[in-house]
Amino acid sequence: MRSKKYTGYMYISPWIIGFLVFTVAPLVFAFYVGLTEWDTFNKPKYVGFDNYLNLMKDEDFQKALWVTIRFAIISVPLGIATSLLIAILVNTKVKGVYFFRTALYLPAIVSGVSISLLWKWILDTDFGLINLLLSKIGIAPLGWLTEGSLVMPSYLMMVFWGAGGGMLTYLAGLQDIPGHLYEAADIDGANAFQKFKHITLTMLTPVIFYNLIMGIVGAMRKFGDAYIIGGADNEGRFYMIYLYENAFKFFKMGYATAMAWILFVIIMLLTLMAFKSSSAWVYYESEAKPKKRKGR
Amino acid sequence: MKKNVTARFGLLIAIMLALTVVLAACGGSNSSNAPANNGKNTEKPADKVKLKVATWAGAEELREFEELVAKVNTTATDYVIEVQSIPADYYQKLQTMIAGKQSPDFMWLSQEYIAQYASLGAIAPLDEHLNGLASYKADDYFQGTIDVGQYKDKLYALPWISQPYMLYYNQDMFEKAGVELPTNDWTWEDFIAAGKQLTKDGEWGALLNNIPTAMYTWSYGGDVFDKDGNIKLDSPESIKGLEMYQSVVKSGIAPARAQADSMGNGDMFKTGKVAMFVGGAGDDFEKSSSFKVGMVLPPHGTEKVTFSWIGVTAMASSTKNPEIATKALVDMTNAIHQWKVVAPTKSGFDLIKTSRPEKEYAVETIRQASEVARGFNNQPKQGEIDGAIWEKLTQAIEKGDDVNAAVKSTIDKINTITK
Repeated sequence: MRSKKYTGYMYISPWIIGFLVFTVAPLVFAFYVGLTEWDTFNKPKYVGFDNYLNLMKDEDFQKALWVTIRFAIISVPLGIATSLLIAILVNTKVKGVYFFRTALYLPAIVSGVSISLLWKWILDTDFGLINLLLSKIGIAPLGWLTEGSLVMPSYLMMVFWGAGGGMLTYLAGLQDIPGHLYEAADIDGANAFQKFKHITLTMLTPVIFYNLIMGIVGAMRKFGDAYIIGGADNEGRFYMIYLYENAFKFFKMGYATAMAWILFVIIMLLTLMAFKSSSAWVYYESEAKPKKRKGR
Repeated sequence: MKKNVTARFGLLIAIMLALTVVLAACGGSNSSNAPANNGKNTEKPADKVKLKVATWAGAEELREFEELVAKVNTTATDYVIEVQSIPADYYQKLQTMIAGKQSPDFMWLSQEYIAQYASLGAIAPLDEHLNGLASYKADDYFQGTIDVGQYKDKLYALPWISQPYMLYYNQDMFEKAGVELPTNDWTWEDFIAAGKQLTKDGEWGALLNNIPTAMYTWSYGGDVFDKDGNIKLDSPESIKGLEMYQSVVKSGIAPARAQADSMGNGDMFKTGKVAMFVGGAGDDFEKSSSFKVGMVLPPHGTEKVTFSWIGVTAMASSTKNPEIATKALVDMTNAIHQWKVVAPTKSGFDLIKTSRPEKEYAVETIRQASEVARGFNNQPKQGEIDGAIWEKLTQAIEKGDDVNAAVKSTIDKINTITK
């Protein structure tokens, strides 16, 4: 009996060893590194929670966090709304809908670096597409990436580009909504807005919830395009960019690791908040209980 | 019985899989990161010291470098060098290799990394091993180039290229506007005066983006740090230089930084949109421009000085045989001086005449520039300091903020970084 128990453990040992070596050990090591001053070339020096305390006083850290939070607050709902709108549009039975679906999804499969370079050109002050279009209606060129106040709006514009990726999950969700719900609503005399609010939106809440979580995580970890595009007045210096600079430019791996843990806690808290709030607004069909009718 | 055999067989498979996972994680560095080798030096006698040099060179430059190293290897009796090419994310990979105790024996570095790597103990001082080495000729180097290899009075790296910044000018634009051509004796005031005459609709007198902020301080005898690492940015000389910087910006002879960046600094000069451009002596304007190009020393204040982009090779502190490695480093660096233009040495300097004949008209000017060219007095936290200078000083001066206030703010930030 006892040997059978161990045999079971042995069977799952490849996974257990992989999990311990590649997940648990790095996590423990990263926690330790966050408590050290480590230039990566020499042995880490234990400094307790100094890295965390210094981060609280670091103006560049505060700025990077603020830039990232501002971006997340606006970009996540913006991304959800845009993706949902596109999904609804391409869920209609119009001619060429498959072409539109493909065209709108294409940006999601293009390399991030190419998209960043493309946007860098689109936003260019002198040769950019946006300023070229604005000049047609008599608006002087704007420094989208060179004027601090315009950097955030520029990054938010890019959110529209990625909306096609989110569209796919909403489209799947939309096609999963049973047609009889709309038929019943029609019989009850519901108008289009009421059908959208009470059926479409309600039935899509699990997909919206999924995209909300993924959106928060993605926004807080923004790196690739910001690394390439940048932006004046440190408005393009997102949290992960500053973390990368500390790790690989300033040789402050302990400090950078402490930043990573703070980001982990922030994302965890935001995700927990989203989960806590989900019972109030996310509707799972499988969990629905039939209401008891009076008189029966 | 059959069941028991099957269970044992399954157990064996599970153990093998587990071992595979562990062994895969412990794999050595001889797979994807294997050093690039041109195949000419694969046969190595056992008694030769094996050395690796990390380079950011790629494509044609890498091929040339590998050929050069192969030649050095053929004459070497006690060492053999292998080239390790890291054409992308060079410093990130180098840092990871050093952290993982897989450091190459030599590494190409840009000057701003020397103090940082030296202070962290990643590279070794060379002085002790250079003493008595006949192939090393300290006096042959232009002083400014060898200075950047120094940290705390010790030499950590040997320069293999030096690109002194020159003032290029578009002779056609000058002649068309009837403006006297620049000379090696031009002051910043002369530069502004000519720039104003050359600035008109869609054309600018000059481009300033390439000029390091520190260079303005040097031209009046100031600096950001002195050689001992003390802040000198608030000295009267430095302030005077920075005020001149602001005067040049305010004179309106140059396009705004962002505009020039987006249009491409060198391209603006090549396409005749700006009349004067400060760039490296090796830039290819003579070949790529349709107008007559001239070159002089950059404008000066009280002192003639120019910035130089200097590339060096440093020796890792982990190298097993530093004496032989230093000898190899000197041999390899001497060979590079016969390849790269502009050489940081007086003896290698004339190479420019044969390898870049289009520069022949300005050889003596470039030689003069090499004699007064220098790099920064780099500090261990240079990466962060550069960020502070850009954010608090350069941008503030270009915005028209008070120079003294910008200097104070910069020093405060530097002090926070270095404390």
